[in-house]
Amino acid sequence: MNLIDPMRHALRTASEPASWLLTAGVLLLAPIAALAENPTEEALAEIEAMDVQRLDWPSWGGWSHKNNTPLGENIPTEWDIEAGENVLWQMPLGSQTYGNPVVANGKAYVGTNNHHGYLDRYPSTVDLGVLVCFDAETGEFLWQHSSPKLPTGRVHDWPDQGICCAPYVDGDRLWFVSSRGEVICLDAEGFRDGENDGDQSEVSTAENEADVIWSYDMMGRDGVSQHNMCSCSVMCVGDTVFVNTSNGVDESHINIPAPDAPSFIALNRDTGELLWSDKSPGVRILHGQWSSPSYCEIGGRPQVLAGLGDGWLYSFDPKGDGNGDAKILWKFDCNPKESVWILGGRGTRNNLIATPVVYGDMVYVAVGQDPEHGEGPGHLWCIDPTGEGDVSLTRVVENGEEVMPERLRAVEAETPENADSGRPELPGYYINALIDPDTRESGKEKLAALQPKAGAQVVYNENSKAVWHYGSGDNNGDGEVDYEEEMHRSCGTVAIKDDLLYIADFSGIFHCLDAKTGKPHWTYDMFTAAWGSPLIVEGHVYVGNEDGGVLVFELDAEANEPLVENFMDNAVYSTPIVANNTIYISNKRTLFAIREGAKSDPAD
Amino acid sequence: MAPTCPRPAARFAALALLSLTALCLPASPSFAGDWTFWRGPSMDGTSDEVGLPSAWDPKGGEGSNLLWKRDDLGTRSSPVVMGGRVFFLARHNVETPQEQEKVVCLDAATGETVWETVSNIFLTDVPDTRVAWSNVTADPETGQVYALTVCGLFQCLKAETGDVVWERSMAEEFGLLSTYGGRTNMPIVVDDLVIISGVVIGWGENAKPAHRFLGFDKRTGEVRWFESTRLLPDDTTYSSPVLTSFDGEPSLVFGAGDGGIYGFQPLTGKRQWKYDVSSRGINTTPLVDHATGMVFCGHSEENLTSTEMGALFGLSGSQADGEVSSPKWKQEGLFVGKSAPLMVDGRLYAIDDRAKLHIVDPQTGEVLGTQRMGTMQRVSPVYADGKIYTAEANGRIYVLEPDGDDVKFLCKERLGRGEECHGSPAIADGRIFWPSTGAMYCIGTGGEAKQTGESNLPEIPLTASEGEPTQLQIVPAEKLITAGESVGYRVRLFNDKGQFLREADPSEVTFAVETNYSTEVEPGGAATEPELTMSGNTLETAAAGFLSGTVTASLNGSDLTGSGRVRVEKELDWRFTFDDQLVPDPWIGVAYRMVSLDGELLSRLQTEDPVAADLYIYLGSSLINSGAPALTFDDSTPALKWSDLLRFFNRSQGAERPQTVEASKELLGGALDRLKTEGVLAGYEWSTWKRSDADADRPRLKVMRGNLVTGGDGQLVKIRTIPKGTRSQSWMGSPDLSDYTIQADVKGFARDGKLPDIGLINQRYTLDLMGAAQQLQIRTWTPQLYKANQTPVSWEPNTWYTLKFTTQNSGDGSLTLRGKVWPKGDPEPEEWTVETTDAFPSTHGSPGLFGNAKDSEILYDNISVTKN
Repeated sequence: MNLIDPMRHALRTASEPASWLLTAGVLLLAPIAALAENPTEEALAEIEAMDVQRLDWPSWGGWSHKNNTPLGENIPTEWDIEAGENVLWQMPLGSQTYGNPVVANGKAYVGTNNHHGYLDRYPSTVDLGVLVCFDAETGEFLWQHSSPKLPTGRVHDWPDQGICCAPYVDGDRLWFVSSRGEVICLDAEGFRDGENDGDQSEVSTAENEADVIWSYDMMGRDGVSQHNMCSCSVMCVGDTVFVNTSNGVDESHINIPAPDAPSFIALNRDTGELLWSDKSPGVRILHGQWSSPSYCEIGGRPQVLAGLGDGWLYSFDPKGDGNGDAKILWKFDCNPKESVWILGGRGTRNNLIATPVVYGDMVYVAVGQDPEHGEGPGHLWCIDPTGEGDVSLTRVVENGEEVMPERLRAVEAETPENADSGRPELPGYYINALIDPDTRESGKEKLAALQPKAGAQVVYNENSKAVWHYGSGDNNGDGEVDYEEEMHRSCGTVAIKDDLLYIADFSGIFHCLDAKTGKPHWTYDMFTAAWGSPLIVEGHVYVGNEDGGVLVFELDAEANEPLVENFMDNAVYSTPIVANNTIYISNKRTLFAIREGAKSDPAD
Repeated sequence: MAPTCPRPAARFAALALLSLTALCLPASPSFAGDWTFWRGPSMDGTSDEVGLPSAWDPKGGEGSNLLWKRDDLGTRSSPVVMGGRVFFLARHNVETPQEQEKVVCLDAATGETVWETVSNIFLTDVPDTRVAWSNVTADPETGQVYALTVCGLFQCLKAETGDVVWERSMAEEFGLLSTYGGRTNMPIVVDDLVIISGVVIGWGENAKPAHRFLGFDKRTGEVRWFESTRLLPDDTTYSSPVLTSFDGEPSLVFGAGDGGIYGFQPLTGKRQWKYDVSSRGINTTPLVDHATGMVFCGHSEENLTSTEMGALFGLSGSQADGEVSSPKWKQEGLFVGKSAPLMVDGRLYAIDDRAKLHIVDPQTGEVLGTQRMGTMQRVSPVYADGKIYTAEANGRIYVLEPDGDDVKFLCKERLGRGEECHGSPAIADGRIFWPSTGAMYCIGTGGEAKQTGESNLPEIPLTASEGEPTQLQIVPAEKLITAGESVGYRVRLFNDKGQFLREADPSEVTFAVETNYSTEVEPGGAATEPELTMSGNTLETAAAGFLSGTVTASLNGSDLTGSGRVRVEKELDWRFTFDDQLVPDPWIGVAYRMVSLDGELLSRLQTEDPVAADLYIYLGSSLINSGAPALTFDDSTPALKWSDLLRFFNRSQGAERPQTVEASKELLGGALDRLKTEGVLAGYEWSTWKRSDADADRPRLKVMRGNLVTGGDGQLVKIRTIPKGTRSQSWMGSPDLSDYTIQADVKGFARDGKLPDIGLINQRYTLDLMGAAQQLQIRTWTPQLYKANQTPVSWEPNTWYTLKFTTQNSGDGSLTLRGKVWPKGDPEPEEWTVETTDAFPSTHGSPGLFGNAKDSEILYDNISVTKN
């Protein structure tokens, strides 16, 4: 069989990273080792070049590599929101807050819903998507942008979910995606500057209202039909703003009502003019598209990285093809070809909700699903972004010809006789990149039992740029893959510093890996789901969870127990950030500014 | 005992087994150990069984306490047990083109299948993994079981054989919504009723969506009562009603899709009290402490009083009356939104949606202790023999022992990867039946079953032998009949507690009927308007038309009255031209979502003044649906009615938005004048308003209703301006119809270049002229296109087409479906555009319409349904 040999090749190389890199012809080990990455300094340099303050954190992920490693001094590891210890201020938000705070030029912004009701004209009983702007130092409410719910209802705009993304701020402008499927450019001052800039169509020009510069209706102009929510934390490079459109399935959860609508667009950030668009995922969108883009220049090649709805990570030339379409540099299938899209815990095919992170010369991204779909198996990839074309680990051939993988299940794999009654088994080569020889043997057996049916075969992709894969493995050698030894579905983004990669998954496992090899240092079970992503600052790692805890670990490969768990009253779905030596973090209904030595009275 | 995994070789083998078993069973088997309702014999999750295992191992083997396992019957449904048999819903032929839904009956001792009753999944958006979400309810008195399938088939089955005693198609007959995402409610038996609920988008006063409840005669399926909660709820929910009595007054307590907790009189449907706790739907099944009359429930959505989400609360059902403004206690922030609380020895055990178990003081709501059990909770815990049995949604299973303010973990295991737990365990005859999406497990020590005989459920006084009648119930409360049929009405009398007193003699009662709607549908027939007539207690319908009416009964010598609703359809063939300018009142799911406008005027305006045409649609539908003589459009309220009107014209944002009256007149003035000239509007007025002195003057438009329809060419318009329901289904007659052809002239508008999807429904299949996909598709189960077929069709907006859809049942049990589309007025092409056959077909079903007008309007005209 053609299948076995390439797979054994993949298996062997996956288990021995050095030989993997050699046999794959990548030869990147030396450059990686030679580079002393300091993402904190890189972030600082990039932010300094913007029209914001030096220690601001002006977008989701802070900077183009989306690695949450800001510079900070005297950052508290402990605080008490009830007593107000180390709490600079706390301000009420709506009842559900999924948009992450960002801080720029003395203002803090966060997306939420309207259940607090800052504006008189919109009492708290009126459901809206809301972007709120506070004074970052005092917490004073400055202004609010309001998005009335779409009349089409939950298929496009789920009740009470608010604005789910973070804005990108530069100078006196900010850009964000509304719950109505619009890309909106606002005046960072709102109407507090006494001027109505740009668009004059605002319903109210009161000083606590948002001043719209331009808006671009992705539903109306591009025919986008987002699934349940439109959300993307947009990113600007030069004069271009990059947006994932959220295009997805309809009420049936299977039909793509707008297969020809773009999944990714580039707009002129000053005018809102469409520069180019890409609709590659099309009818192969699995569910929705909510991953936010990142950007890097590696080997002199600028590229925008976008996790799209077919579960592939795309690298686009930021300039497009010059004719209004995208120029794809490379793309990577983050799902095993044998995986299958089933709604619920049995599904092994996943979406990309996390943001791809660039660290050194590599790109890191994990797969996951809408939390409503429950727990399930996940994957974390390290990808070399210097490739061309399809750089996935494997590809599918039928009768010697390359075939385009199917949307819901690329190949029909037989389930072994003794498989659990639950989830369909995945082939052995999707166990961890680093495994002991015994497990490798059992992996081979599994592989042998999983001959694909119907002629389609999964073969190793000689063009692959996969560097390592982290899935599940018997790391402690007890003969079983424990729950804690599994990478579960995650909507979280990695944070990496000193070659230590941290990621939380939806099953509540917090993973610490060697970023170079994918080898796990340890995992920690929080016993509660995590939706957000870690923060690394001043030698500590912070991560929030659904129980309202913010755990703080030492940044150390051995530090596998939290130093402290801070309690935030209710679920922390957001990612903590640091700006101007202050932690900004939201739980579901409050935004907190946390600073060493500060003391404040708790809000309401 | 070693576990076994029995796999009946074939369904026929199982049926053979059944016929043997059936002979040995008493007619109405009812054992002490039965668990006939998913919350158990006391409706509170507790059982008096003893001798139950403290631990079990899903892998089986020595000492595992696993008695049997059916890994072919994984389900979301919670099992019930009656007479040594286990009943639940499950997926059938999972992930195959023959996938269906079934009610399963297993032998409780062996796990072998006794019978399966299979039904089709049709006209629903429910994804396959959400099929079979509801629970079966068993009734020892009749030896019947009741089940609601995801697409709304409400079935009464013989427990012995699975034979259908009666069946109501809740969607086609009443407008029950087959939900977004599959949340399906479950039946409850009270006395001689079986009660079911769901969001209903029906006809007449029920045309607007609401979570509605229907009480059926459990023997015949006749409707006894039909009651509503608040209109336009946000959610479909699965909080199940539980039965209790408060100070001798029987009560059905449930959480509704409108965010309220209600007490209803179970036999009359009369509302006793309501507690509004959330703006979103309640999925948690309430726990009633029958001894104290306390109701404990929770939710995981918005509270009305703060931005904190989620709550657990206790209110006194005994003291509740009318609107309950505040409960006895409420713990906001506890996300008890799915799993029903449990009461054991004076402590409340509530598991929140994140699988944190809270041990709570039922007097005060104080949280005494908390345990982490995983990340997601759906299962409601059950209690017996000193132990709590529960499972976390991702397959963590637990046996817990209450231990003061804490619990001891007697057993903590994991099911297979990917196995989920949604359904709750049932305990009966020494066995625990434990569902997961991977298997149905049976657990026990294998010893003899024992019960203590203690019950938490008191005697519920559902009848009274004396007392004055204060409520009158007319039966049937809702009925669809064919023209020419007659209906004999009966009257049941109740006291103010909702207790049944007696059936009134017809001589004591005066009956009357009012015809609310009537249309002649004889092709070319005379424009007579048939009427409903009443002769004594008998409703008569001689005329051949479509009618609706209200039947009232008054008890002579008193002011007691009651009313019921009736719909009449004539026998096929039908033809509807809408030239009476009315939306047919007896149609299900049409009024409110569609309006009848003057087609001739509309097309004239489209040619001569497109803005006036759009304004006619916008104002016409707003005026018709509001019923108001005049409407005002401005942005002074959060509804932003003026912005909404401008959005209809794509002028709400940017430089094109008119900010002054002058600019607004420029956009709309001509169109308004035109509508006034045409008589559609009696008049209109411009004025201004301002939010504050600092603010600029803003436009305000008031329009006065004229004759919205002026000509004789009525057309149905499916509008895109109403919240919810722009993509919907509707039905126009009995679900018993078969072998017919439905034809309609249809036209789609285009907005932002987007076309609608326009469909016809025939015998539970949809023929869909799809706009974005540019194809003609036949399908029955939207997310699973196993039985679908489609042909590419290029079609354009603003052009009339004729759609034709026919079904033909064949002798071999299969069904042939054929659809075609052609430009209206052209000769009908001989070839069918799309055809398919179904080997496991729906053999009958109501004719109806499907439409997706989210992006742009749909027009329907000249709809005919003809017998093949």
